[in-house]
Amino acid sequence: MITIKDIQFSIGQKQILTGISAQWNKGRFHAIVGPNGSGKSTLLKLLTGITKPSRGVVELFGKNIEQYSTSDLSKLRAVLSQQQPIDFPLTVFEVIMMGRYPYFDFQPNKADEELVLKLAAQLSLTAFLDRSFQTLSGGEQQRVQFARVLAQLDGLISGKRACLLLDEPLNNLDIKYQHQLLKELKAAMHEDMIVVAVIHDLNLALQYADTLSAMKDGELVFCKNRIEINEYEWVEDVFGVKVEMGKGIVVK
Amino acid sequence: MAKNKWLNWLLPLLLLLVIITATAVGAVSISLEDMYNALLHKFQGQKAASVYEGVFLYLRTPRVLLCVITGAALAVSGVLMQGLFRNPIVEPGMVGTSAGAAFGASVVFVLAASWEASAKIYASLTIVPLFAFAGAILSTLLVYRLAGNTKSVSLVHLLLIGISVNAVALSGTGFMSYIARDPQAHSITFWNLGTFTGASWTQVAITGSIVGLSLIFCRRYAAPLNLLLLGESEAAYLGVSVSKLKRQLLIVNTLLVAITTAFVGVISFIGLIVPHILRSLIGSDHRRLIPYSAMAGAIVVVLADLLARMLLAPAEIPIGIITSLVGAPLFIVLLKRSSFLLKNNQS
Repeated sequence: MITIKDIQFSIGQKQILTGISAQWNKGRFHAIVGPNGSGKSTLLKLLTGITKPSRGVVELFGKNIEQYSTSDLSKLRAVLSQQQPIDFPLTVFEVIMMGRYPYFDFQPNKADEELVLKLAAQLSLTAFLDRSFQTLSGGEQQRVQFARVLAQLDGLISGKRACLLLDEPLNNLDIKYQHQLLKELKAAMHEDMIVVAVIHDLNLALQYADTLSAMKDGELVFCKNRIEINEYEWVEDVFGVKVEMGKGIVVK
Repeated sequence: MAKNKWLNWLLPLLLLLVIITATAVGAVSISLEDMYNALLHKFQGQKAASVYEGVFLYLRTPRVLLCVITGAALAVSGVLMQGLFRNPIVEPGMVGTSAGAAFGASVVFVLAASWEASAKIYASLTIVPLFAFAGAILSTLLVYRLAGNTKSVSLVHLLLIGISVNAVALSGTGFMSYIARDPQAHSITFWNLGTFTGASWTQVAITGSIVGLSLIFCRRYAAPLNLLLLGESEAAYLGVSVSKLKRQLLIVNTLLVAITTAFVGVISFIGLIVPHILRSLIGSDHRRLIPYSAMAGAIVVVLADLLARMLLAPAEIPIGIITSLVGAPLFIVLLKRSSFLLKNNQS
């Protein structure tokens, strides 16, 4: 469970988040939606525990997140950020293995290596393992990073508390892999795990997420279960565009 | 999964070979038999039986060892800096360390101009290293202080300020060599380009212990440095205390560069080119990159010093001329050929 209480965040004079409170339960997949600059990514950064809010408290699994050590947190929550280039030659295997670093001092053991191979197979990355990360396309890199965060959370085995934070995880992915990633997530969901993802695509968010939190101008407009959402006037309120139902493509 | 495993035994072997060759070759050649006898006599507590043994024990060996230590220190410092800045073209001297050392040394050379001959010799052995070390530490501290609060050092800021402080220190050194008379001006030039002429066992002991300890310490930075390649926030999400790591790395790097530069002067290109070559061979895993760079750096400096002694024998060329003259074109060739930098530009 993640609880935030009256969170504020400012950079200099500019207030990015203006006192948000919310609660996201475990065992569920929560999507955050909202227009550009509404504070979604900032909110997600505060949930990581590395960036501290200007005011307010973030609680992870019932404990103030500032009371966890950096190293404890690294075994409990993983973050898939928006892409950052890597300027050095690293193989795909090495990048996925970085997810295991919190668990060993200097060298990985057999179990770490097996987990990396297993996750690579699961995400159709086996053929890439020896390739240089830099030679991959944006979408391929994104999938490798996704494998890395899964490795960090032990491949999301059930019974282990895990918090997965994703900042626009579907960027750069084509329609097939968008759905593959989301399906992997759904399949890995278990009752001690919590996923919070910033997602731009409303259709995908509505199709896969359990709850939807909408943000606008640094405030939380609403936080609802997906099944409660039948009307779509809020899209106009939040994004300023008129929408219509029942058109477009739906992947089965 | 590790690439090019043959380097595991090739590098140590090559290092040993290069050390023996460099010890044997010079104005006076020393046979393996002389080396063996010299060591035997030394351990039996006897005096050196011949000139050859004396040259081996008190001139050649400390010089070659100082080369090994310096090469290892500069190459590893390059690895640390490039990993820290996540930029493959950063050189260890970029945060002002070596330029500060050069300025510190040049001040002594100019001051010592009026001293007596014996004092001058004394100065070149002790006061020059001391001032160079102080200059290195002070200019580096100045860079860090100007770059921001100690809690978090912004890297771009640090580099820009490093460049500026370097420029000031360089012009200071330039001014010193301008007002210096000839023998001193010559010393300054020589020192700015690096030289192992005065190598002694004392220097080997001082630099060896500090560099050795720093290198042992570096083992624990290998894994965090790997994570840092993903980006600072990603490393933090994976459990690295990034600002602490940055501070410690900058301290270790300053020590490595300051202590070696204090004794041998400014030697460029080692910290840039050695890590670069190794990365193209084995990738960026710091758990291998750090020890391999230490060995490769040692090999390169020993060879460069051998060339510096031999090319215009009996005169000696400053080693910095060799490293830049060979290093720069080699670096350009590597850049042209290496595929990974090209790929970077596309992304």
